[in-house]
Amino acid sequence: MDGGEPSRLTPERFRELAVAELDALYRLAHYLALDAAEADDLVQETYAKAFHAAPGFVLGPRGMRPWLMRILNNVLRTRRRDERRMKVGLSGVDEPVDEAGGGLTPNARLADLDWEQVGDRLKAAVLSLPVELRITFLLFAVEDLKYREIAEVLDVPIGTVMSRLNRARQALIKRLPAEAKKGPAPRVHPEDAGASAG
Amino acid sequence: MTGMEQTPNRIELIAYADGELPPDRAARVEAHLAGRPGLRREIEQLRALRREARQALRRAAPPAAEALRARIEALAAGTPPLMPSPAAARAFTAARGARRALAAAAVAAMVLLAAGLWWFQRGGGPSGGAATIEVAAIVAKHLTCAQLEDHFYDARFPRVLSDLPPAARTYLGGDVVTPDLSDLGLSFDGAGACRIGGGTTLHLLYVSAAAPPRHVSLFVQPFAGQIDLAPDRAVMLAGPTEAHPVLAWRGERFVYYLVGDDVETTSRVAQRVGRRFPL
Repeated sequence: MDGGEPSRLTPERFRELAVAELDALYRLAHYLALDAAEADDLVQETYAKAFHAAPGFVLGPRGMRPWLMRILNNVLRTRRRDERRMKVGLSGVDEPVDEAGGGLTPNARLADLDWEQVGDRLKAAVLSLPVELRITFLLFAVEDLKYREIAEVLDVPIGTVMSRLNRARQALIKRLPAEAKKGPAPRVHPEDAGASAG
Repeated sequence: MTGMEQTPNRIELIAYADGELPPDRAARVEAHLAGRPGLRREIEQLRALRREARQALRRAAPPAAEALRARIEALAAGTPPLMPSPAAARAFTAARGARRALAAAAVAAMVLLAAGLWWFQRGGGPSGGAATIEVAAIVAKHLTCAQLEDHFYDARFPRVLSDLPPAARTYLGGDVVTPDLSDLGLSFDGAGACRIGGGTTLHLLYVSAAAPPRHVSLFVQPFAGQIDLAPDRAVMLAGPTEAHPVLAWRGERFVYYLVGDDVETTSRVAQRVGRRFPL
C-alpha cells in the first residue's frame, strides 16, 4: 500500500476534496476537449456524476483525483461514441513494447534539444496526439499518475498503458525537433480546426 | 540468478526512467547503467520530456472559470437534493430504451402539437424519427442545469429574453425561436452554450414561479442529420410515461428539443409552441 487505508468520507469531506480537484480536472478536460464550452461541460457532468456516486466512494491512498478522472474519461468516451466521430487512429496501439529496439529515444533526437525553448512546441506536439495517446500521456506526465492508476482511470491493462506511453513518447520525440524549427505553436488541434464554437 | 536476468530489458529501463520499479529492481538497473553513460543520458532525456511536459502544460492550462467553479460549488452544496433521484436515473435508461425502440416503432411517436393531444397521438406520421442523439444526454443536461438555479448563466448570452436573439444568432449562425412563455407562468431563467451529442447547442432554461419550481428546457442545434426528421415535423423522443418527456421538432436549419420536469408543464409548453411555430 502506498499510503493510508481506504476510508469512507463524510459528505462534507467528500465535497471538500472533490472541489479541490477542480483545476486539475479542468486542465485535463481542457487538453482533451480543446474547446472551452465542451471542457466546462465535461467537468460539470463529471461532478454531477461524482456527487451522485458519493455514497459509494471509498478514498484510496492517492486521493480522489484518479477516481474523478476516471469518471471524466467515461463521460468523454460516451460523448465521443455518441458523436460517432472519435478519431482513434490507433491500429496496433496495444502492441507490446518492442524490447528489441535499440536506444530508448529514436535516433537520439532529444540529445540536441534546448529544453529551455521547447515548452510551446511540446504543448503543440502533445495536442496533436490522438486522443487516447494524449490522455495517457497527460495522466502520466502532467497529472503524475502511476501506471497502475492510469490503467484504472482508462480501464485498460497496465501493458496497454505502457504501450500507449511508449507510442506517445516516440511520437513526441520524433516531432519535437521539427516543431522547434516552426513558428508560433498552433492554438487549435488540427482535428478540431473545423469545429464550430458557435 | 543468471547473467541474462541481470541485464535489464528495454521495458525495465523505461519503467526505471518512469520511477515504476521496486527498489531491488531499480538498484539492479542502476548498477547496469554505471558503465553506460549513453544509456543513462537517454533515461535522463525521457525524464526531461516528462518534466518539461508537466511544466509546460500546467503553465499553459487556464484555471477553471469562476462561473464553472460557482456551478460546481452549487452542485457540491446541494449534493443530496440536487442529484437526480434513482427514479430519474432509471428514467434515463428508460428514455434511452425508448429512443432505441423508436426505429422499430417507426412512426408511432409522431405527435401533433397544435391539436393539443400530442401525448396520445401516435398515428402514422411520415418522418420516422430515428435519432442519433442520446435522449438521456438531453435529459441529463436539462436536470444538471435546472439544479444550478441562479448559477445557470453564460456571459455570452443576456439574461433578458428580449435581448437574446442577436446573441443566439451570433452563436448558432442563424435566427432561432426563443419563445416567451411568461403567459404559461414560466419565466426565462437564462441561456447557455453547451454541446449535446457533439453538436453546438444553445440551451434556454425556463422556470415556473409556482412552488415547487418546474423547469423546462429548450435546446437548439443546427440541423446536421442528427435526427431523421423532415422540416416542420415533430417527434416524441420520450413519452408521457417517462419522468422527463422529450419532444423534438425541426425547422429549416435548426432542430429543437423540448424537455420538462413533468408531463403537464411540458405538454402546455408543447401546445404553446405548437401553436406559435409552424410544425
